[in-house]
Amino acid sequence: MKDWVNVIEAVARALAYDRYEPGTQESAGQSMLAIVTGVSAPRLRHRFERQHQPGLGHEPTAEPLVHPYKVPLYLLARHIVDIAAAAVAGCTPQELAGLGEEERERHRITGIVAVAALSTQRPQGRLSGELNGEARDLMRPFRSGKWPTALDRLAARTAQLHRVMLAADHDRRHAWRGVDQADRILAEALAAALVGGAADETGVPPERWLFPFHIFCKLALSAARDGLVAIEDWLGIEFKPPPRTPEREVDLMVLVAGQAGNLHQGCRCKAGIDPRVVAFVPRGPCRQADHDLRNWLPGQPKPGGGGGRYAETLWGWLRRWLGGSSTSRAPDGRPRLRPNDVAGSVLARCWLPTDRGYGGPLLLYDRILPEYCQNCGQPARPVTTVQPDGHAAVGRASCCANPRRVYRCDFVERAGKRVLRPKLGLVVASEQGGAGYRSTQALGPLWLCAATGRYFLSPEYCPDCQTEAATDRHEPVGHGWVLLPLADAWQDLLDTRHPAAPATPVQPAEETPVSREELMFLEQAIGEMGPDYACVLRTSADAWDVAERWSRDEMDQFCAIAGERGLRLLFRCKQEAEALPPGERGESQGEDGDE
Amino acid sequence: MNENYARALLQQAAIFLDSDPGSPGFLERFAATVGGSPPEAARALDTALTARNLAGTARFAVGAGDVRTETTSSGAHLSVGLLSEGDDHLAASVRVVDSDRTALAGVALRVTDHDGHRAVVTDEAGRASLRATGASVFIQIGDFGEVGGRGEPAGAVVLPLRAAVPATTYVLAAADQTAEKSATEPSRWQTEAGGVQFTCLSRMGGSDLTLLLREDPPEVAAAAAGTHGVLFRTWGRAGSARRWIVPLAPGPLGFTGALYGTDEDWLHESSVQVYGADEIAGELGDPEDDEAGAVLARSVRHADALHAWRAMSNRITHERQRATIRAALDRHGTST
Repeated sequence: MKDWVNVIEAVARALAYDRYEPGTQESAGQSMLAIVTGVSAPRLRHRFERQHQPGLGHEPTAEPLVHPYKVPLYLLARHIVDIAAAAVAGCTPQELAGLGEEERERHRITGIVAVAALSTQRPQGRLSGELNGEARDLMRPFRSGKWPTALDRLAARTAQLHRVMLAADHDRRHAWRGVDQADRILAEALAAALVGGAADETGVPPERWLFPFHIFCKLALSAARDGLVAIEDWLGIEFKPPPRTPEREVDLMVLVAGQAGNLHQGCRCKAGIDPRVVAFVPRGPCRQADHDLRNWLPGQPKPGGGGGRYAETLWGWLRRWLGGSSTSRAPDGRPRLRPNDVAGSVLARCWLPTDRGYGGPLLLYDRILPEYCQNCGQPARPVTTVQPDGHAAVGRASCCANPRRVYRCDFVERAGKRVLRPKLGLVVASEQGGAGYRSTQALGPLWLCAATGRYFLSPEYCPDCQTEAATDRHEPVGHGWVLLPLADAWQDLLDTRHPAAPATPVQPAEETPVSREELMFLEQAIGEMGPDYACVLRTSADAWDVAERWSRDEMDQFCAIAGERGLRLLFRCKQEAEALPPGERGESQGEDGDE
Repeated sequence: MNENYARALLQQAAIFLDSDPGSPGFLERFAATVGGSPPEAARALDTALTARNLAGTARFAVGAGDVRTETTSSGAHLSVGLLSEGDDHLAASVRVVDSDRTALAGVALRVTDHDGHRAVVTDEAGRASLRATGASVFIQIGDFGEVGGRGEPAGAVVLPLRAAVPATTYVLAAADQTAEKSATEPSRWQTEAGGVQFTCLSRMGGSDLTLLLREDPPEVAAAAAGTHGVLFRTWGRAGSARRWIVPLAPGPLGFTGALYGTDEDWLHESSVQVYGADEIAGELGDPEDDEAGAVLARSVRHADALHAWRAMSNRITHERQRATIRAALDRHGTST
């Protein structure tokens, strides 16, 4: 185990001495150490802003300026890795260059890990050039806890990634201005190791490691931008906010920063998805080998023996994770993507299913209701015809002499039994859209017959089984998506409502009066709030009289005990109490008072 | 229930929770403001209350071009990004996840920019997008139990310290300017809180703040340099809150003090207080404490009028605080 405290202190002293602007009379508050530790540097920010201002003799840039992403690149361009490595080796950067390659790389890895560790610190006061009193405070966290073990692990994982990345040595598409390729590969290895959880034992979350975390996020933003454009080209539509706008850029920034903070726990791309969005039971956490940064080995064969290899660069890994696996294009210019590449990507799962207030379209991975002909058993085949006005019209090709199409689930025969294979696929949806897919949500819950695979609307009336009662062969599936324009299969679905059911979507029945059992439930829940709250509730008006005096904190307390059911009952009590004639409500209160 | 209606109801419930004082009669006010049938209202209120508890409290400033993830009092994570759209317009995006990193829907965030403050609510993916004006925004999640200095509800507690439009040409330091120049000049911004006028000049190396005591209390009127000082709290682009002390000295316009080369954007309105030297020492606490020592060291480092600090250190009777100030003055003198 290395003596990390001494290593980090040596690196801190070297960085504190090194002014970020050679030749100027800046105070030590603007040193490399100050920048690494996140001390505010208005001059540095001003410098970045000037670089991004067109018309000042600088190259105008198309991308909006993201300050935290600029800082690590700026430090790398100032050879922070060699300065840190020289401090570790106890020599000058010139002497470092004369060392053997293996020894030099070892010092460089130790040096960059020390820089990463320093970037977790936020010194309160100014850092003087000599680091006299401040060194003690700065080094204090590294003396305790599990820092030395964690830093050893981080260095080991960085070295492993660095070695295989160098072996793969794929061309990088964009150069970082002024940054040596060797420094960049090492910085990427550190970023992947850190965000992949190699330093978890420190207890410091990845986003607090400013130096490596922002390198990772910078690459992730670039990959997300590229991935989204590839998905749009593949689908032939454009999502909102539009490409090359600050709104899209900032949305993607927040997405990648949030997701990067999760990666040390494995991929969480399937976590947090509203079950109402996917019309099937989520299948647990993400298990895609490509999505687990903790096990990434650049350019090496993937487990499973399928012949696939991991991405060679960090950008390539991020690109697969965020927006599909292939970046090549077909001769017609369309990206070579597969639905699985898109459906499994983080952009599709976490960014595109909601419109964030921009008004769609959305990209969902959801249940699709296939159309089958009841007569010949063939699936409906969509055909597109061009109308005289130039618009394309989608219809269904005729399959037999007397087609009768219905929505039916795919199935396979296994051991003489039908096994249903629900069709899950990519759905592009827009509230205003007249093409693509439409949800069945407005019709209420959808039911599926396990025997025949038929979708229908009434749990008591399956048109295939001809049953008039609910059975365990019928399962609810929430909702599904049907192909537009609607045709005879849609009408058939509408006809599967129970004959007694109204033609329009079912409205919730008027609430029944609050029962004695419900009042007892409320009484018990209120009693659990504390001895002062114990009460006897005879009528709903009594319950409302108690609850209407509560403050927010009391309501919060009640909610924690009784949940949504309790709240629903209180609102019903309120409705009933207000419906009573004024005299009757008063009498009820009076009875309580008499007791 | 229609999904869009449920979403709208949740949004209203979250905004109501954010703006309501929480006093007795809460449910009645909720029903009157938000409406909905019992199941709809119950679901919206339950979701919003749960989200509010899971989200906890946090407040910080974010500058244009920043992306930041902050941890709230309950361990939830709040990721915020802010990008300039040109002129003084900003595009912002926010995502709130709980301590298990699950998206939190129905969390109301109070966002303050140069146009004032408003509430935005996260959607089912825990996200909210908004546009703002100025060079930075102040974000508050949860209730800090404070009321704005102008009688506004909780959250309206900060005032912008800098102009909305960043200066294209930088100006000389505050001491070289005359006080009669127009307050509407982009590089020169004025605001007032607690009877103190703050004038901010943006320069390349940071912002200079000049404080002018507008209404001299009788005990201050006849005082000498360093007898009184202003204690206040700000938020800068670095995000976290910082406290400052500015000793006052008599001048032609009244009692003034100044801070040079700061990076502060938002002033905590109700934190501005004028104290005597010993009261400041009492408010600040033990200088051995890291935070109190840092306030003193930072305030001395950014001060221009060291004579006011020297005078204040002579007036403070508390020995340890006087020693800390003198040490900071010595360091400042050495480095300059």
